[in-house]
Amino acid sequence: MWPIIRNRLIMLVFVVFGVSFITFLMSNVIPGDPARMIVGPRGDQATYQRIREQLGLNDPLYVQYVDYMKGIFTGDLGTSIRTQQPVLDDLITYFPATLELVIYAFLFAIFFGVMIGVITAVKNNTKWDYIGRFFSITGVSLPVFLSGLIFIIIFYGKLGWFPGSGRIDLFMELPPRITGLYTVDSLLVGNFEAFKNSLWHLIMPSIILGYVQLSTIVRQVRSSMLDVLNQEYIRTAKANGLSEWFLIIRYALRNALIPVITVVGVSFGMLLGGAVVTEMIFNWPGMGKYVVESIGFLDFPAIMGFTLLISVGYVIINLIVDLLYIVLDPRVRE
Amino acid sequence: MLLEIKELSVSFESIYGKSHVLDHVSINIKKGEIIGVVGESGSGKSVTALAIIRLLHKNASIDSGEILYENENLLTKDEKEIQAIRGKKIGMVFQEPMTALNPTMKIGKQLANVIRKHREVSKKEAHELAIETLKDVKIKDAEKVSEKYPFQLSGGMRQRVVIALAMAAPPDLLIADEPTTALDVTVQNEILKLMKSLSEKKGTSILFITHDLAVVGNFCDRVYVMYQGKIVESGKTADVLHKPEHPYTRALIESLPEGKNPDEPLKVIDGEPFVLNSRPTGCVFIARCPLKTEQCSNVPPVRWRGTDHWAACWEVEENAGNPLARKEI
Amino acid sequence: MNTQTETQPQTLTTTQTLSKQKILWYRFKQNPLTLVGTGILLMFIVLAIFAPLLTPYDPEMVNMSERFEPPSSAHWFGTDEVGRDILTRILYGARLSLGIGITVVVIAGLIGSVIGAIAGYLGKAFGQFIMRMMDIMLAFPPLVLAMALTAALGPSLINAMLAIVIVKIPVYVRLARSEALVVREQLFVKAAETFGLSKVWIIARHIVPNVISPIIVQVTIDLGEAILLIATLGFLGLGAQPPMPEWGAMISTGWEFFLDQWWYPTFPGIAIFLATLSFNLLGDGLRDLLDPKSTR
Repeated sequence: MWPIIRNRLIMLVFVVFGVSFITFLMSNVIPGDPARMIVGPRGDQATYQRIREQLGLNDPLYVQYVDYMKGIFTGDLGTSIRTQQPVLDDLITYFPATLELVIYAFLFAIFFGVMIGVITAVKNNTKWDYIGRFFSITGVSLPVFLSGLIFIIIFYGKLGWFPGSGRIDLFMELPPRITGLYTVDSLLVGNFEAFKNSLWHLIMPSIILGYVQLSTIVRQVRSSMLDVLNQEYIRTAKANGLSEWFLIIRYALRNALIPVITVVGVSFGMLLGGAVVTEMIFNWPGMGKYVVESIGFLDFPAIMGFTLLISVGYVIINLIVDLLYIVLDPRVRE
Repeated sequence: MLLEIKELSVSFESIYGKSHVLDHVSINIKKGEIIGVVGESGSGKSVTALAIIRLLHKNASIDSGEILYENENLLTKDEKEIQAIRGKKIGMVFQEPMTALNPTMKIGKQLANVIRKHREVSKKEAHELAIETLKDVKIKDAEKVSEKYPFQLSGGMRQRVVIALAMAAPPDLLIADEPTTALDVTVQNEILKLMKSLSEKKGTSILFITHDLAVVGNFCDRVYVMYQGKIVESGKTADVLHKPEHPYTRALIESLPEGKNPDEPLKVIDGEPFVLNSRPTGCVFIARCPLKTEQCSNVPPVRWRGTDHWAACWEVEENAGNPLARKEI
Repeated sequence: MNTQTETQPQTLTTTQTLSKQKILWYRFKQNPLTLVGTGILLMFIVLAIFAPLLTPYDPEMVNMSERFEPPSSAHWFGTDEVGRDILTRILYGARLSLGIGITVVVIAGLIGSVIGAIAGYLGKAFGQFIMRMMDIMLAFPPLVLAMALTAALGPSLINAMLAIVIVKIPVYVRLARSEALVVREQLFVKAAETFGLSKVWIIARHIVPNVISPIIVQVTIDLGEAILLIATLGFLGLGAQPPMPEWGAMISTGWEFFLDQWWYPTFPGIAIFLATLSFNLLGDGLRDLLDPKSTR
């Protein structure tokens, strides 16, 4: 167990260096001049030079990189060119919104993904198999901007069932910031109105976001489940008289889920990075929206902060996946 | 009669077309009897076993015949009814003990699940019964073993657990499909002894399927010899082993290493089995038979050699043809 | 013999071995979803190739007198805000989307497999270094990386393509390397080495051709994703620029008119969906073919 954690931590350091190095290179090698963006095309040369100086753009590249890396380890990710706030503060502000959206999308994808995966495997090569697979493949075939807009038009515009943007109604009293997740914070202080309201806001965007990951999970669960259902121990258990669904749930599913964990971990990472378009469509005040706006400004400190956070998230998710393996499979524990 | 398989024919559908794997197979088992079914791999032994508990592969279809268990046809039962019979009335042990147990569930739990399926007991009682069952199959430290996972046990131990699972009810009939093939010789004998003693203690009949004629000798009361989906000879074990009639049975016995000069090369049956979708119309052994004549291209008759010993072969002489005896088989 | 195979008929004996193609075709036909996917894809390819013959209109010609015409016999899918025929634009858009999708993924696949094959064949330190680089690349969210690249390089179709190529490469490197690790241990490669053939020759003639089949499956799967990425970048204004008939860009402008001219964004939306769907269905089916586990 400890070697696994150690290896992941080494990987973490490696990825932090690598990712920051690449983003850093990107921000410096490719054309596009943030100082020019701030000053504007008609700004005078003196202001332009002063701003370049302020941003450290006149230092040699390696000095800039060393400065940046020093910052990372002291919690300083630089200052956003667009918002003029420390990037770390910005990320702390926007991260919980994204995390909350991703968690709900993830729950949606896992629940329906496992369910459809099991059904398509058990009913292999029947119409239920094809319907389930078609439904899940539709998820990766619909661009989020399209499905999101369709949902907004129908369920917000025409039917008025769900709110079309934001995390919570404007007039609603915000829960105090404890975790930053509205549904959790509101429950912690017993504000059920705010809980209901924020949950209501979460439904559409998390379905849209989660639907994209559905097919990956369905495919893996189905394949893994088919594999397990063909194992001899399933036949033995059947011959011992256990009923089909008891077998599927208690014997097959657990064993089938072990190889699924990896895919599920990856898909959580994909959700974190993939929330960008969903957040824009639903005007969700999260990191995705933040980074899109930063990209428009060539605000590289912000973009670097964002990618760094996501990559660290990837590594941490991989660590959790490794640990889950240990919990679920007694063979690995030995 | 506990179990009567009557004229059972099974075929498989695949990309290659339809292949007949069982051809009018009839097998009878009395209460308390140990019956052997001997044949090469691919002869249809396992298919027969799986057909009894209705666990045939999806692409298999039963073309004709009946399987009567206490005079009820198992083939017409629905899934729920057959589930009530599996494990409770008819238990089954498979060949491969390494993969026959759920790898991520403790032994005791797997046993308890099966026990709770067959008997109305609480979880705690089921667990105690599970340990009892483990003791029945002569596992020492049953309490400890019940807390272990399958990968922590040896092959022989696992096969004992698999037998314990199959005997948990206990059933009236145990089908054992090559239960010792994957084990080494010393363990084989222990497992056979265990099954025999369980059979005597609980009055369970055993349908013992094997490719190894030598094992059958001191284990089975009666034996059926199967070749390419057809029973070619049947009788008391001693009769079949010592006075084999069918050329195939003889060839099988001649290929056994027992009691031979180690320098003498083992006999091998010439030729190869036919492929199943090109079944000959007459005798199934025709291509490899040293005695074949022209009439062998017609389906061979059953020729009786004693009250319950017969072979399906044109070249076997009918002797002491007792028509009354035939009916009792 | 284990009992599992014994329940299968003993059919795989010498006299009746079917050709591998025949078996693959048999299994391919078994999945109706794959057939549907292939059908839609063929339709798009035909439409894209014959686009100029199928429509009398020009995809970029402005005709203000016919703006916002609803679907009719003259304009099956209606017209847009400057009077261009939407069906025509979708047909030409198919050329763009399929053309770009295929180009981008094939280039990424080629570069990726060559790097992967080299990394796998040369092994040890160099291979490890490449793989760690790819791990880092894979830690970036693809859309964000593509967006950042296009934004920095300047929004244009070419830059969007370049960005997607870069984003897609690591997957192929990984895949090709793991295949190459297997191939390099095989006899014909060892033989080639003992003949003293050069490493470049071995990689080009033995390693690359032998890692190609899983790559082809991955290409099919990625085509759907690439088309979506192009459309998304187009939608965000980072990809194809007006007046190009790119589907994502069409939806982006068409969306403002949805309430009164529903046909404007709807038909390009359906086109994106069907094109992506066809690749995904086909990719799913191909994966099943190569993964015997999932079709038992």
